[in-house]
Amino acid sequence: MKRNVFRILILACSIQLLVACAGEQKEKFATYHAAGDNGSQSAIEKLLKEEKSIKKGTAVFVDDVVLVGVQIKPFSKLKRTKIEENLQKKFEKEFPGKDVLVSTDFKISWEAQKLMKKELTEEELKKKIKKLQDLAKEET
Amino acid sequence: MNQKDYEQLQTKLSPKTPIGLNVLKAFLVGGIICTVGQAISFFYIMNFDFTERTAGNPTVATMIFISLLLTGFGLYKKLGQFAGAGSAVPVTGFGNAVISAAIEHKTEGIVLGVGGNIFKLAGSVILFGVVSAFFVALVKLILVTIGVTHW
Repeated sequence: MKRNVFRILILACSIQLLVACAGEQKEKFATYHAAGDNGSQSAIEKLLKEEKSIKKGTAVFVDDVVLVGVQIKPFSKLKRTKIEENLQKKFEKEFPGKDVLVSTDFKISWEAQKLMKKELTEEELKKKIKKLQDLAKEET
Repeated sequence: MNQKDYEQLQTKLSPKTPIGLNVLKAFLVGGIICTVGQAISFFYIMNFDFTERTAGNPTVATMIFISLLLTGFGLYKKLGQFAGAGSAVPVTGFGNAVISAAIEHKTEGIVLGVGGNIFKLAGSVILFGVVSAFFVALVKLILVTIGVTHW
């Protein structure tokens, strides 16, 4: 019995590790542009660096859409809605006239990281971003 | 011998409950169950169109399906004996309570046997869960109406 429990424990831990480590983004902040305007990159990094409770941030620019996926440090997760609203306001101020979506949801930052690695045409990218925007609105 | 004497005698003679060990076992097994649940949740988020907010539903369904299989094969009983509350408190324990009641009363027929007894144990959980959720929502509604917080 004891050995079995030990085995299950090791199995659970290794599954968790495998799930967690697959294709992680190495750098803390990353941006992706469909059009080549690099001016806003430093602005975004500055905005994200101001927020201390952020572990990782990924931003995707397409046309007039700015999609920002952030991952929050575990002990700040209680305040995640507040942080999200705060960042949303800051980004809207930084990029007026653009459709900004800041999300602390794991799905958004995961998909944003995946978008960066793939070489997609602008059309496909727009479609994916639209899908993510719809997903972020979904409740329950 | 009156009742008090009997109780004293009983506590003296019965073996001592190893509370520390039981708590440790419950913590470990409950933690493993929750880790598996978290892994399933990540699986749904990464491979399907679920966000962190919506991934809860398929995760719970999958966990209950796993506990259905374990209950049917008689393995959840052993886990419950070993871990106690660690296997009863997560949603798998709730599934086990429903499914084992259904299996137990199968011989009495589908409608009056299974249908009448399936929520024998879990019915009170559902009742008190719904009632307490109603009152919590009421309190939140009042707070939002006053303007203390928002949805």
